[in-house]
Amino acid sequence: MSRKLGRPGSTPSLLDAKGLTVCYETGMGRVKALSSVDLAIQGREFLAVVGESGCGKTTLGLSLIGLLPPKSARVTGGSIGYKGVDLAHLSQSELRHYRGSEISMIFQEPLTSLNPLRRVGNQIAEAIILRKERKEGRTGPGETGLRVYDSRSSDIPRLPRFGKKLPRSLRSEVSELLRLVRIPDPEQIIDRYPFELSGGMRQRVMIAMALSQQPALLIADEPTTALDVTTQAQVLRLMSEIRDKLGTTIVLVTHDLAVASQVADRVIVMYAGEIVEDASIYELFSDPQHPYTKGLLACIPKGTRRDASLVPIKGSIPDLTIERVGCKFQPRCPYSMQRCSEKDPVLVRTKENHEVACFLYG
Amino acid sequence: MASATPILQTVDLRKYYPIKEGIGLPRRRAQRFVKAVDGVSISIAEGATVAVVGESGCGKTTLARTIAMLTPPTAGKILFEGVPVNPRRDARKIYTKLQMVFQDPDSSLDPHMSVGDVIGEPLRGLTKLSGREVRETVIRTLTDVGMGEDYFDRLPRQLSGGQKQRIAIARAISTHPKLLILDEPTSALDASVQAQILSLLVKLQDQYGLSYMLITHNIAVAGYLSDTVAVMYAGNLVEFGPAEEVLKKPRHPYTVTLIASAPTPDPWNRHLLSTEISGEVPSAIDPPKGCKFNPRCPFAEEICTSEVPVLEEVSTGHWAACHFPEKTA
Amino acid sequence: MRNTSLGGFRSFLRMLRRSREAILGFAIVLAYLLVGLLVELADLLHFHLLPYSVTQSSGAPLSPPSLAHLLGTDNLGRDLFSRMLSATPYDVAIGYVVVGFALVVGLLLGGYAGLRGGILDELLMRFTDVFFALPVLLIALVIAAALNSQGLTETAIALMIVWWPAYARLARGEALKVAHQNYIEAAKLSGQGSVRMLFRHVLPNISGTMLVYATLDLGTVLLTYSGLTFLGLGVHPPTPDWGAMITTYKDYILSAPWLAFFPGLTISLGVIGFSLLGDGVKEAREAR
Repeated sequence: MSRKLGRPGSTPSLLDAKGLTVCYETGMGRVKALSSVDLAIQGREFLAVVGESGCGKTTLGLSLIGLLPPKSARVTGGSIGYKGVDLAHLSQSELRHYRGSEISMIFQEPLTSLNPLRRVGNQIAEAIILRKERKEGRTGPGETGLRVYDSRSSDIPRLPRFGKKLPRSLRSEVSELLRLVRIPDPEQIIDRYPFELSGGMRQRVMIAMALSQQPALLIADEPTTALDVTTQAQVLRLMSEIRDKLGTTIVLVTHDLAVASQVADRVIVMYAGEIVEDASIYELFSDPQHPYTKGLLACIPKGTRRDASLVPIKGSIPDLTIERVGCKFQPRCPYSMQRCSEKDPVLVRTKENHEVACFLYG
Repeated sequence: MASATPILQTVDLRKYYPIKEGIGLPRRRAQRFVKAVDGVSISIAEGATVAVVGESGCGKTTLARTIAMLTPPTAGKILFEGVPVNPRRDARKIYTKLQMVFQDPDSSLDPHMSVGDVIGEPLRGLTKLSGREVRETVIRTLTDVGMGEDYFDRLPRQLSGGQKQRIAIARAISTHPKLLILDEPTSALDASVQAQILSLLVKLQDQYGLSYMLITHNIAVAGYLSDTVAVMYAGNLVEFGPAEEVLKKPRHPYTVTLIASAPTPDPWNRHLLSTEISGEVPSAIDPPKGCKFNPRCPFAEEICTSEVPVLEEVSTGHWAACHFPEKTA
Repeated sequence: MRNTSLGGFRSFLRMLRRSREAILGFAIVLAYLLVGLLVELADLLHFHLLPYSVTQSSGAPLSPPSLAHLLGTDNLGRDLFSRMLSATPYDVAIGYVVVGFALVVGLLLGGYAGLRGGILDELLMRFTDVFFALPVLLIALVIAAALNSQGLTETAIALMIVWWPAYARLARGEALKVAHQNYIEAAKLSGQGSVRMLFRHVLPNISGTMLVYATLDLGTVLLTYSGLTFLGLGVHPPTPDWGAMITTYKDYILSAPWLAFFPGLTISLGVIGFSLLGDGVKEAREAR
């Protein structure tokens, strides 16, 4: 049972979470949303985090960017190593230096992520201005993040007032960004308000805003779940292009293994706050090892009902307010052994590019 | 089409929603309409499962609600077992034979009603069974959907999403209807729960000889559950035929794109990344002239912008509404 | 049909325990209620509960609070404490009567309008708007004139007439939210008629919000009623009423300030009690 040390012969990771544990205080008790998670994300990687509701995938995404709800959630253990800094233990003002500029995030419902009262172009411009200010060193770790317009420099343009359209100086940059995310007719869209756009367009605007900061890492939390199938395909294709052309590392949080198979290089499967399998996409689909992964794959409807290929996983997701000893999947596992109810398995490397947390493999 | 009377048939069904603009009496104000369902003729054979597939705004949910008589049609006919149906008069009579399951399990159940009351509601409203008989039927139905008698007194807030959906299904089958309309029954559920519900639906269909009208945007679910697939776009049927045919050999350009965009669990075939689809679903108020898909269609020609294509048989039992079906052959 | 309201009451009490304000409010409201009931019962059973007569002089006029007369005596030598107690049933009851009426009418009218929608909804709401526009004082005067008498009943009727529209509006808004839920459609598919749906599905689901509003509103009724009696409407001179007492005793504010002070205090305390209780209920529901 070897502890995961890192992929041999690989470049140092972009982001390295070790033993990350996050707890939520709910009305019903304390919930361990993440249990000692080890995850090393490489540069230029397209990683999919897959799991069902309650598995902790959203919590993982929020932890990486430091957006856990402060009143109820806390990092109770572990670290998130990024460029030599432990993000898990930074203060909010320190995190602000990284958030948006190095690590960016987009969410499921773009309508609530965009300000309904401001034109789309203005919102993107705001993000661009922020980046320029950061580059000039006007905001940095330790600052409160309040923007103060320094009268000395006149290079950085000012944001137009409420409701006014964007001045020409900023328009070309915003147009460029919109073109990057393949929005048709960028000149028109700049002056629109969010409610005038469709779901797919809004999501692309969100991606444009996230990209305006030129982040090294983009976390996308179920970005296409609320979108139509064809729009989903467009957005996923866009994300793949962003990785190819800009070298951005993408972390896609999704409940849909099929979506992951179409775009990701690597998949981690989560269950009840733990990573149960971590493999390259081809490995996962050709040789799924963890019983839960196998179960998930068997749940995807393929062919017709007469194929009898659809096999539901018996039982249901465990109640995380109750602390259990042993493997969290054990009550539902068709292969469970005595050992499984005594100890919780950790991730073990079984092959190149394949790790699994299950006693069937050591 | 089948020789036996289809259990459900619609003839040129339309549902328009008037947009009230300006001031004045309602009749004068409504000059423009949202054409949610714009002339749909569909039939469901007894014991069959027909999946109506499409994206948001295509009208599939409106179609389902109109057929379920929850909203009156603007034009066209609905025939149940060959007999024309008058939504106002015949609703209660038809509901013993036609029921519906909704998408959102949380809003499907009244938070103040116990499971037993929820399942018994159609029995109390549509049949003359005694209190004891209702209770017995409810318990039997609970067992049918895989839940025990101990759930009888539970409240919805004590149930999970999957359990709530089972109760919704139990309620729908308690009167032993012949046709069940399922509006995205698994879209709000996790993958493993979805698989459980789909298996349940298959089991119930075999057990009771039910016919299903399945509304979904999920191609895989449609393929798994149905015999026949109908594809809707902007209020119209653009393709209709056996599931195998429509999903493996689509003959309408929109269907081709739809299927290519649907993610399949196959990393060696990343068709998602190579499909090109531009534009978006057209406005339902002011759709494009001619074929509504023409602005986005790679094969569009002059005629597509002026003439509306009708459903034509492109192979046995397989219909597509396109001026150039040979382009997708 | 299984009723969850009894269990609901017990959990209601448990909920209240969480907030100190709610407990205080509940205590005040309960105290007022009990006193009112006791006094009324005593009166019906001709039991002598009050220390002194309400209408006859029992001591030296305008004497300050003492051991003999707990709140002092008024200009006619009548014991203030006895007078205040005897007014309790009326002043407490008026709140419950008016709000109760408004709640019932509002729930039925507004709930049905929200459920049905369409033209029926428009008609019912326009009807409600007519009553909304009526100012309470004017109506009280009109009713007094029309019924050719001016007393508690007439004032109560006036209050009920102007009070219910707000409840109808609120109920309609809540009912609209419910009307869009799938279980309403399922009820239609179960052959349920609108009226049955109103009682089975709409009312149970909107009652919570409405009750919170009603609880907070009790204080407002008391305040408005006291305002009316202060202006002279409502009760006749010998019959005691807190608001009327303030009117009568305001002339003695300098010589015998306790006379106007205690009725005012009692009204304020009553309103505060209702407010605290209402706030507590609202918070308790939100916490759940």
